[in-house]
Amino acid sequence: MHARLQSSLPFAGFGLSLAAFTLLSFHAGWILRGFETESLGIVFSIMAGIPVASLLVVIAREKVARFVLLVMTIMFEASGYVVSLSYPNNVMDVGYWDVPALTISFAIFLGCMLSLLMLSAIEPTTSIGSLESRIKFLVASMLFPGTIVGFAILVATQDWSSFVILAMIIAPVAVIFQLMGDKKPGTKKTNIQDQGIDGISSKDPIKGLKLVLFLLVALVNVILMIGLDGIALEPNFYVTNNWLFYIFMAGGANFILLAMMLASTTIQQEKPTPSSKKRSMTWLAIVIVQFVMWLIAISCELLIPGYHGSALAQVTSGFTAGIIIVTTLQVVVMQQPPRHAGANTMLMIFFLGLSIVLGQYLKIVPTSLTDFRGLVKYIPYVFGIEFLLVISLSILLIIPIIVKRKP
Amino acid sequence: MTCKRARYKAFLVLAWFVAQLVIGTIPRSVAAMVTPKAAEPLDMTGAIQIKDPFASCHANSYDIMADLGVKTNREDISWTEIEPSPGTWYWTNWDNRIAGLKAKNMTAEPILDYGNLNVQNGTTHGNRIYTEHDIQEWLKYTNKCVERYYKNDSNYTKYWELWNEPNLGDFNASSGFWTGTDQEYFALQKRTAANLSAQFPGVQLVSAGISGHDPSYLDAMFAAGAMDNVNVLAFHPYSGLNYETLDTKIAEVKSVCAKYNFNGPIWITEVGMSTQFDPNATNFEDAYQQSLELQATLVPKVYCQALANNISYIVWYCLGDYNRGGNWTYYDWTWGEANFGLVFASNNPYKPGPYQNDILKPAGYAYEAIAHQLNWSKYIPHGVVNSILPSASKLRTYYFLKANGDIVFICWNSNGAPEQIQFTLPATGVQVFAAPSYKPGAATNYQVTNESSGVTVTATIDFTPTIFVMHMPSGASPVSIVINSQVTFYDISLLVVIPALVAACVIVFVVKFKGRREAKL
Repeated sequence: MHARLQSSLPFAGFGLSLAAFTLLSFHAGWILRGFETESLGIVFSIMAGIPVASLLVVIAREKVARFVLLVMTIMFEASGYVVSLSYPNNVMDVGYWDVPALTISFAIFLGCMLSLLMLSAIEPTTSIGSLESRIKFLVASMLFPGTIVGFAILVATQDWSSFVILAMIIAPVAVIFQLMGDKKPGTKKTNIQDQGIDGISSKDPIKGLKLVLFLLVALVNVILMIGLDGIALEPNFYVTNNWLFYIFMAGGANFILLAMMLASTTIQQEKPTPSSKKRSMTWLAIVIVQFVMWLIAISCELLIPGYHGSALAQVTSGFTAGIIIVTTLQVVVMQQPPRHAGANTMLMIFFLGLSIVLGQYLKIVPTSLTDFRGLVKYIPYVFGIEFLLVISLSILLIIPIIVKRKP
Repeated sequence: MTCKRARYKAFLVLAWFVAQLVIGTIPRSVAAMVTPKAAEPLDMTGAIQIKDPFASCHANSYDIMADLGVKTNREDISWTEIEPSPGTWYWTNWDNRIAGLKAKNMTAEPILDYGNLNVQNGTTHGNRIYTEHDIQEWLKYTNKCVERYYKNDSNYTKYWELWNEPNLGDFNASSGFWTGTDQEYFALQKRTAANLSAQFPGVQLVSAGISGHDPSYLDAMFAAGAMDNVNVLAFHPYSGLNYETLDTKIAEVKSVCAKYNFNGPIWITEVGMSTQFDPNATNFEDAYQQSLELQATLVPKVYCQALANNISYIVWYCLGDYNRGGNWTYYDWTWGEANFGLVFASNNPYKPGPYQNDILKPAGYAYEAIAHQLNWSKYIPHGVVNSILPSASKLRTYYFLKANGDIVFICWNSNGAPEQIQFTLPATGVQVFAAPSYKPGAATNYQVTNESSGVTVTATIDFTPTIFVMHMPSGASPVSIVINSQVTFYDISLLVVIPALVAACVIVFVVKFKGRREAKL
């Protein structure tokens, strides 16, 4: 197959996987709303347990990653049949869901999809090619989830079963792309060395800590962007007008892509692998941009009367969420040397997926705008935690920029 | 050349994918064009005869009971009422009750229950009978009751319930239906059942109706031998506002019965939902109306699920709301216990607009429709024929065949979404009872088209049950109800597209794997 086409397929696979996962998790909050605490525990345990098990298997034996991908696809589709055939209609009576067999099937369904998402992230983030081209492809792949979910909401309106069917169709397509884009053995190592990618693997002893802090910030951001955007709104609004959020999530990703293309002349003048200092500066810039955008979006949602639930809020939040998600992935790709990125990337994607589900769950916690206004009193705490994390991370990122390393 | 082939392949994959996206997002309703199908002969396998399962608690208005179709009054024959002081027996109220019921051809199911501190000396508080003296006094009381209304009354009151909800109450507490240990209760039930069955051959003893369905409590009750000499197992599967999982609860109870080889009848001796409201709350009228209308939908749901599971006796708790007036007025409107009824409290000034002039709550109308239509009918498990296609309606459907050949078809959509169904029967007429009021002639969710072969019914079915009564020509052979359906894009996706895509995954994987092996070799 044509090399360029083949190398772009895993990115499309990743984008489609994220689209399928976003489709599935879109109604997760609504479905989980009526669950007993015990059932919620089962759902989250299974949903987290399956991806973690896949991760451990892939870490232990990387060669079986494709096989695990196939097994997860089959399990996903099988549990999808149980869920969709037990529940083919569009409006969810939450009481009906709290039946053990259906609860477990739904949890397996979500868990397998999260596994597929994690596994599909390995190839794009560890593939050959320059860092710049990998980031470009990754960002381009992010157009899939926003566009597909946005149009699904627009066309399918409240039809939850259409979302499930779409996800069940998209997921194997993503896997086919993933498998078709898989390279022959031996090519990866050679190309990685050709790119001089070892330079990425700097001897930064606190990179792990920085990544954890960054992950925490990103998780809080994603949960609140998705959650606050749809919180305490009428179910009708939630399923009919929310398409703007997702379309503009794709818009946010597109914006980053265009920004990168505009800056590409500058980037091309750089070395294929940017220096540690350059990468730290980019990372710091991303953290600050994410924080400022998040701060503006959340403040508007909570403080401006009439803003929450408006079309403008959907557009702004979606745009911000898109930028936050792609820049988070960008940092992961930038900071992880491809040879060791598989497990780390999967872990990051796992938490990203979990934060999307938690964000969807947050949507349905308060049931009225009065309850929503009651949340305002917690703003100082949320902002305080976010601010503390961002300051700590910024300090850690500034150190390698201002301190000149001894030769 | 290779590049062209690759592009061609990628184009095909993308085209296929886009086609599936389009198929997946087309609303199924667009494709759901239905074609009427003829009725099929009725499969009577597993039919269940329904015999007077309709009962109500605290039912003292015998005329209303008769109108509603209530056949039995489940009522406490409490020890404190019957024996107000040691050796003194008071029967007036119960004599009047039995006489009133007999006059309307109804019966009673008395509950032998609760402690009597006027007679007991083993405890000074709560409901606990465990000392030998108290047990002997209790047995004396139970013997007196059964002797009077069973043995001396030509076996008229045949079924006797042994206590009420003994699994509610903390040990040694002052309140609660049983304040001793579980084992003490099991011992009391065992001795009571042994005594009554020996003293009064033919009497039918019903276990204490336990609160909820509590399989672990039932298991312990069987294990302790408390079901020896007991003929009927009773439980109270209250489920709040949602009874969609009543089937599961019944199955769990049956599973315990099967474990102990108990083959007697299983009864639901309490079930219901309260419609309490706060008259001081803002817009309480809307909430009260919604609550009343939701309660009405539970009546068909409970009876259908229970009867289909061979529960032969179902007691609605209870017949009427009440408000004691005076200082109790506000408390009683907001108190759940006072608002479980099928009938409005006579002094209720807060009836919502559509029900201003009604005596029956919407649940009362629903009960009336169900009781009058289903009593002495047969439940036919295979009476409704539905398509096996994935897009077929996942409605809950119940088919009852009346003694005169008429068909009662009850259905609702557990998932909540309004769904249109259509069926054709060689009937002469159709009567429909539906939400919100369940009043005769008030249903609006259906259309009937008269044809030469009978009638075609088209109806919109949502979370609320609809009761169709199809009047069949006399002498006609019974037929099943065939719900029309047609292949939709949803079916194509689930039956063709998704399996094909999964198969493609496997093929690509195998091809890649083979390629790798060859490359290695």
